[in-house]
Amino acid sequence: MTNYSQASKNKLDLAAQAYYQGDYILGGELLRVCLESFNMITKMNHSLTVEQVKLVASKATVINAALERKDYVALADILRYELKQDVPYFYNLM
Amino acid sequence: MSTELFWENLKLIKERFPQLAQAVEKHNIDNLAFDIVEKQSVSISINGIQLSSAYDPVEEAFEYRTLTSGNEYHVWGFGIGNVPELLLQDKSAKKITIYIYNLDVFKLVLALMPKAWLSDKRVELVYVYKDMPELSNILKSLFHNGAIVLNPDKSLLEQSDDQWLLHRFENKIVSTHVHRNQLKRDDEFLEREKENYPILKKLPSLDQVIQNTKIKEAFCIGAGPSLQAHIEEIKDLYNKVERPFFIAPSTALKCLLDNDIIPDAVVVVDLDSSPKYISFDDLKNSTLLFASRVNKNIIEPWQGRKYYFHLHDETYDRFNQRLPMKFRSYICGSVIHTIAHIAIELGAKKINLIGCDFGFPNKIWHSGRDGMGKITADTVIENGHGEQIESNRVYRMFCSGMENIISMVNGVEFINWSRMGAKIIGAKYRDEVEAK
Repeated sequence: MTNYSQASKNKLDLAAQAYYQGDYILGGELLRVCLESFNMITKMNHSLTVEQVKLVASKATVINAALERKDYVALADILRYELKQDVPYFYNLM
Repeated sequence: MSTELFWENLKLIKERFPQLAQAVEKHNIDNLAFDIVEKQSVSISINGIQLSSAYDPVEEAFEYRTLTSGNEYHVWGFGIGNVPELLLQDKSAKKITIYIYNLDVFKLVLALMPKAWLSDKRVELVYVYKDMPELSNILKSLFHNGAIVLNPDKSLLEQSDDQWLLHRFENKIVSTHVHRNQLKRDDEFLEREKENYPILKKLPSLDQVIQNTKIKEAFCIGAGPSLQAHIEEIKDLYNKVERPFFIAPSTALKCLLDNDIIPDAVVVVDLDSSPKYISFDDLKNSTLLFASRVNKNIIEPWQGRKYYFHLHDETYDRFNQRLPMKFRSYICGSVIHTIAHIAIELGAKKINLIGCDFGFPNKIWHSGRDGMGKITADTVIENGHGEQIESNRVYRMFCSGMENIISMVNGVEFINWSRMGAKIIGAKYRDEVEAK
């Protein structure tokens, strides 16, 4: 059987892994680092379009909503699959 | 909701687990709010909680499996059943015990999805409810190497009023977190081992005490607020000629010594324990039992007998190779676990737990000390009166550690002296025992 954790080092993916495994403490620590980076990137990178910034902001809202209702599997799905698909630029920076 | 699939699935369960089948059949989910979630795969969501990955439930199941070792699994919750289904693909898997505590999830999934694998003889279904017999033994499996706690059933439990099981799941997660942080301290551990080795090699280990001492009854005295509440009774008992063995951590010393009680043994395990609260002159007749990485400023000034031991966790393996010993103390974050383990090893058949509160009744942290120190109350725990008292996540985890010890030993009676602190599953209350 394969072990996904050995194949990936992306922080968002590691956070997703922790949430899939039910470890909301580790998941939360990793996600906080990612969200801080998100925030910093949107503030510092002046070449971003308004649409890109809006898209990231809307993703952050979805993440917060999943966190609030403790819907950790849906949250992990967003971190592992949806961010990669919808905001690849940010995903690849993590 | 009774679909054809439900009856087919229920038939499989009825054959081997009639009690669970009956509970499922009776359980009503007609008003349950659920949705189908469709992404690259399909899942179900109940009350806003998704039961499995809607992208790759097999990969999700693999993620859970990476947490385990061995060929026996204990899966807490059902989700959509993707995790046990994956585990059954593993030919070396001998037994997969699934603990069903959320009948909403279980019944809904049985009504919507075929679960033919439930007939596999390696699958064992256990229906978990609060007052069930053998609860203590069942909870122990949470800390087994093959334990998996599924997210969704747990999150849904959070929406209910019955939090006793949720707290124990969280204790397991906090315990993983604490252990992870411990592993980051290896440089400190190495330094302490270098410092302590020359001292320890001249001292006897606790193996010697275990070999030569036999006790019948022990008083394991923690520093929780209930210690102060019972101090007069403890004092009376202490002054009797024939009395149980008194064993306490250094944190309880202030309260005990203020009341002229000198414990037979003082146990220190924490690397960060300070000699500040230890009155060495008053403890000449007391024995120090200490973990091998304790600060030498506690070991060296101790005037009475002193014996070292290693803790059970793997960070002590290296030191155990240099100073090998048979006894390795079980610990789940607190010295009180070590104290109970030592009492068991010394042969105690009755262990009284005093001041083992795992919470802060009346906002008091430790008996004999004011305030809460650096500890913050960030959660609650149920006390012996069924009320929620303030606690700290790490303190609450200690309670699970004590419950694990109780469930692991046969023929030892554990008596919790106070109802003001946390309820410890598996321990009897003193008032119950005395009423008989």
